[in-house]
Amino acid sequence: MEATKRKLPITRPSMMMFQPYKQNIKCFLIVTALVVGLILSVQLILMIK
Amino acid sequence: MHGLAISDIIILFAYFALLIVIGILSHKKVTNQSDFYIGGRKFGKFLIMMQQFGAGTSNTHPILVAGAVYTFGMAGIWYSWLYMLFTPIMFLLLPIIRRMRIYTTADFFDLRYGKGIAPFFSISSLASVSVATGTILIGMGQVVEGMTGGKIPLNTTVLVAGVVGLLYGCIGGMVAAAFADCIQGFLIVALSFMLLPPMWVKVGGFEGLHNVLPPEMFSLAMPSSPMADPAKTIGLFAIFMLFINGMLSNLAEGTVQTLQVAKDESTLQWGYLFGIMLKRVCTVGWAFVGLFSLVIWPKLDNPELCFGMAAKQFLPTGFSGLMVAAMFAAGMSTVSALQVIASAIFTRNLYAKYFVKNKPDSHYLLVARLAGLALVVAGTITAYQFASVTKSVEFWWKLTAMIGPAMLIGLFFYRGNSWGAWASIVVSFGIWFYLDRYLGPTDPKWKTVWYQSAVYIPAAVVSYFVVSLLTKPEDENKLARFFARLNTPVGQEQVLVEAGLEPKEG
Repeated sequence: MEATKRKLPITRPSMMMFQPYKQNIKCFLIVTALVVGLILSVQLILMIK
Repeated sequence: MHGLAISDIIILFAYFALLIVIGILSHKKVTNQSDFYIGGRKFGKFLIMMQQFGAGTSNTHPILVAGAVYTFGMAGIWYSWLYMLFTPIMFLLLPIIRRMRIYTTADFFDLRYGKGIAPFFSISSLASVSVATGTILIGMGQVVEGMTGGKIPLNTTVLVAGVVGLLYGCIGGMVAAAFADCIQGFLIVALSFMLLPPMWVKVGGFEGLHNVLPPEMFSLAMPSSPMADPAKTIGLFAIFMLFINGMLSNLAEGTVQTLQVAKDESTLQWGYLFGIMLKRVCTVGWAFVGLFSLVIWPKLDNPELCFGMAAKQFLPTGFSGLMVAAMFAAGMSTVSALQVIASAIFTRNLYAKYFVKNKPDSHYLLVARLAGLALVVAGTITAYQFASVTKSVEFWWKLTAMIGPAMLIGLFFYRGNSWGAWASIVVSFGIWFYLDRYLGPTDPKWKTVWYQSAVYIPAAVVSYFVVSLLTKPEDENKLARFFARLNTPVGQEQVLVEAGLEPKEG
């Protein structure tokens, strides 16, 4: 009975690997924006004559 | 004296002394293998940030980027930025990597695929770390040679840097390497940007640059035209392939091991992000050094010398000594980090597993330190086998990228097995060898990373899936243990213990 109540880990690839989802998605977008922003700003600086 | 002022030399020696002190102080924190290899998994955000910035910012990067921009125009920045596009994906992978709860990257292969592939990875990893060490030592020699007008020869630099890096790495392990990374990180940031104002004035600002250089030199992606030489054009195709190759190579080199130092997942994500972004910003400074150099010294035989020459000519007295010191430190901190990575792989995954088992922790700690010594010697010998830093770095990228698919796909594809992993490595290596040896000499584009990887990476992925599906799956219990770790956040190890899958965190 005790064994069935016990929280067992998932033993195959699953979306649990990406938990906590909300935080990860939010941060993923921030990081993407930072990367794109850096590339665009450098290209803009290079266009200054 | 030696092309440096007395004040420069004093600064240089003070720096070496400081590094040795760091090594000795860190020594007190190293009481077992875990402390030596992964800093006892206690690093906070700041240390991880500086470790990621420092370990990823060896002295080869300013040389590589400035040299590539000198040759290709601003698109050469992708020689260092190639990892940047991978950052958002890496941000999601970091918790998974930390949840592996391993000491070395070879442990991953041991957990996921079984013993056959882990020893192979360990041996190839030792070889690739030797190439990397050699590259860094050569790069350091080139900068110092450039800065001192050849008065401090390459051989002297390689010897001094090898010995000092070895000393504090051997004594202090990953903790010493991380603290040295902090110091060199700050120095490299400051000194890289200090070069820009005087060079800017010399070339006459953006107006001066645009008057002398053709427009394509200012594009981050060189527009390809039918007339352009594909071997000398970094267009969108080349950037894409550098990104894919970089992502796979990043996983298979020591990164997975260095990320095990974090105390928790969130700390790792934010520390890593800030460290990596800091490096990307610095890269812009190095790229401009290359662009300015092209205007100031338009006909350099070896573009890789331009960063050192700029530092010598445009930094005030005292600061050039500091720049030489920073270059030494950048190289040595990376050498010592690589040495810790390789000594861990040698000791845990080869020595303790196949040769001398069940000895006390102190025995393996001593073996790890001695293995580090052997590695630096091997790296120094390797250093002389490569004609240039760029060629050597490219070779390392390719070697590690061939192992990457087995790591990345193995995280998500349950049916993937050792045979698939072997097939992906063997097929990609065979294809690379054919392209490099037989097509490369007649058509130079087949010598470039982007053209080669466009063939060997898809071939590796396809052979991984096909062979895995056609052969016997891995043992279910083994896979259960591996995937249970990936699904269980750091700090919830009790769940694994209660399920009988893992007794304690490593």
